[in-house]
Amino acid sequence: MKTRWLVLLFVVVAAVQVAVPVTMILQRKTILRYGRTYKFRTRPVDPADAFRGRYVQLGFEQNHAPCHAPVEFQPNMELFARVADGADGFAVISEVAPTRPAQGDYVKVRLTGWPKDHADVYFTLPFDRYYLEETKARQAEKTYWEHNRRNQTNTDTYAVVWINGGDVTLADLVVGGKPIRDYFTNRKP
Amino acid sequence: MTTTNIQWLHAELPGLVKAGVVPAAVADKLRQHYGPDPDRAGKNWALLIFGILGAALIGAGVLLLVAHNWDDLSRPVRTALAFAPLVAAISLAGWVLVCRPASAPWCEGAATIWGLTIGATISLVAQIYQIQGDAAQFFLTWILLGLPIVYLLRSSVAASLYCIGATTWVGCLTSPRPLSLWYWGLLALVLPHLAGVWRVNRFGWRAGLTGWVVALCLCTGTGIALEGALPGMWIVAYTGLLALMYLAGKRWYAGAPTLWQRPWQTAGAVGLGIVALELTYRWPWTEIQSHWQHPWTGGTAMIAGNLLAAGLAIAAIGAVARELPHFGWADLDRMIVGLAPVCGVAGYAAEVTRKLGTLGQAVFNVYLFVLGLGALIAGIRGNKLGTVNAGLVALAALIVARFFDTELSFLARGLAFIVIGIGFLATNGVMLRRKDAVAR
Repeated sequence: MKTRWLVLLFVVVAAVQVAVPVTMILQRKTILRYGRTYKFRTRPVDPADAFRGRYVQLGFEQNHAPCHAPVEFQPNMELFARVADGADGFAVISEVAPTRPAQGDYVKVRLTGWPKDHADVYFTLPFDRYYLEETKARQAEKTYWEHNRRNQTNTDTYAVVWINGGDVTLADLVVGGKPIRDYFTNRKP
Repeated sequence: MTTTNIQWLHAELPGLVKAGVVPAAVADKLRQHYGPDPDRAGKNWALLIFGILGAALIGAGVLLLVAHNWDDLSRPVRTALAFAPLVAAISLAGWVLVCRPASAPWCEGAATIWGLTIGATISLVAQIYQIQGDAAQFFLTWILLGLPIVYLLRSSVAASLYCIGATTWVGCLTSPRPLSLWYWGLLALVLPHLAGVWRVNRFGWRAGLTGWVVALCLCTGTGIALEGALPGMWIVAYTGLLALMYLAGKRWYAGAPTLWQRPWQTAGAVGLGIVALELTYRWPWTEIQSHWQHPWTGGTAMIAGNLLAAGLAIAAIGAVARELPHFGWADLDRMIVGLAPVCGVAGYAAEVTRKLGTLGQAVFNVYLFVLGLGALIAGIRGNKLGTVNAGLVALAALIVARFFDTELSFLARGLAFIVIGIGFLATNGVMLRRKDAVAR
């Protein structure tokens, strides 16, 4: 009797353990199906932090916005950033707020700073890593850097992000006008 | 009876029964009385370790092989490969559960690989599909999914990994969030397994492993989890926690023959020495009055966190106070350890109410001296070289710390170090001579 219960519990546990990563995949597929795409223009990041093994660390121009709601800011607090398309076709964050917007697309961001002499608050977007196979990540990071020099207007390097309500997924990283994976498929390893 | 004698007895008994010298029933009673053959127990132990190591290495090796050509594979193939280790581990665990439920090496090995593959599959899926998330969320998902393994396979290694995972989770929380108080709730979820292990054989390898892991996790996680409490409450919490650990160890593990089997009193005593040394400096006391902003102000989390910290100190003081009337010279160590939370609470209260942090600092200078001296006396009385040296280390640490604090000349410092060194050598020499005399 005891063994029967144990086996039953085992089956339930195994099912839940497999279901969790499956749900992660399904959530992403739902975003790609029902969401819409935004292009987030990238920017240089601290070279010491850029390469971290299996991914390229991304920085974005849209890392600051005004916060009109009265908030007692704390480091790393979660805020909601309203996202819309700009006139140039790239994503724009018009404002951040402590509460979810009633309508429209938004992303959850983490507050990093709120300088007293600035109207805007600073934050990190929730899609700041682009995963690649380890041996290619360093090369990708170099390519990313070549197109993200300081004081250079960046028009062809951006992250393609799908947003459905508040659910977000990073679909691609476009560097110099073409997806970063194309840099490796055209070259010998 | 020594291990060699028990081995000899186990080897002799079949022959004695065959020759009719000892009846079979008496031989069985002797076997029961002296326990299993230590040689066989050693083989089981080796099998267990190699089982766990083998399982972990196979898992890691498979992942590395797959990683070699990772980006050349299509996404569905990569997804299938990401799930493969988990499915294989689940299948192995299912077989063990049905066919080898009583085998500790099989259960522990299968539980280890099963627990590790959960994290591997989640992170691989996240990388394949560029799914972003924070580290704390990842660790929480991993350990909660892995928790049932502890009970299904009765695995102490899985319980240890769970505790390490819970401590990593609280360490990964990006700011002092009220959520960190759930650390104790997470640890409590393995308590039934730990209680079972400790009840069955509190000197066995399971109790040793889980005891060390939980003790070290508590030493690390308590400070992080209480980061958002009032500044300086860590003094009250740590003096209470470490004293409680030592007192619990002395109560339930006093007869343990080896250091491995005494995790609680060892971690408690060493931790208390380190904390007491820190509190002999000025900075922990001045920090109490620092007005940095913290998110728990006025919230229920702050009340709960501070109550928890105070509760640890009160519990330790209560435990000592209850037994105080029965204390003799042999209990000197427990009395001194029980004083730590009293000093911590008094120092904290003096700084908060009267800005008299120097009082706390002075108290802990005296306390560390008493702790070291107490260990030294207890070691000499009990003829325990390790305890004597621990006492000497505590005293030496205090003296060295004060010497670098004050503006004494190099000559005075040099002479003091020579005196401390001579003290170490002389005491060890006397103790060794005494041990030799006892052995003879």
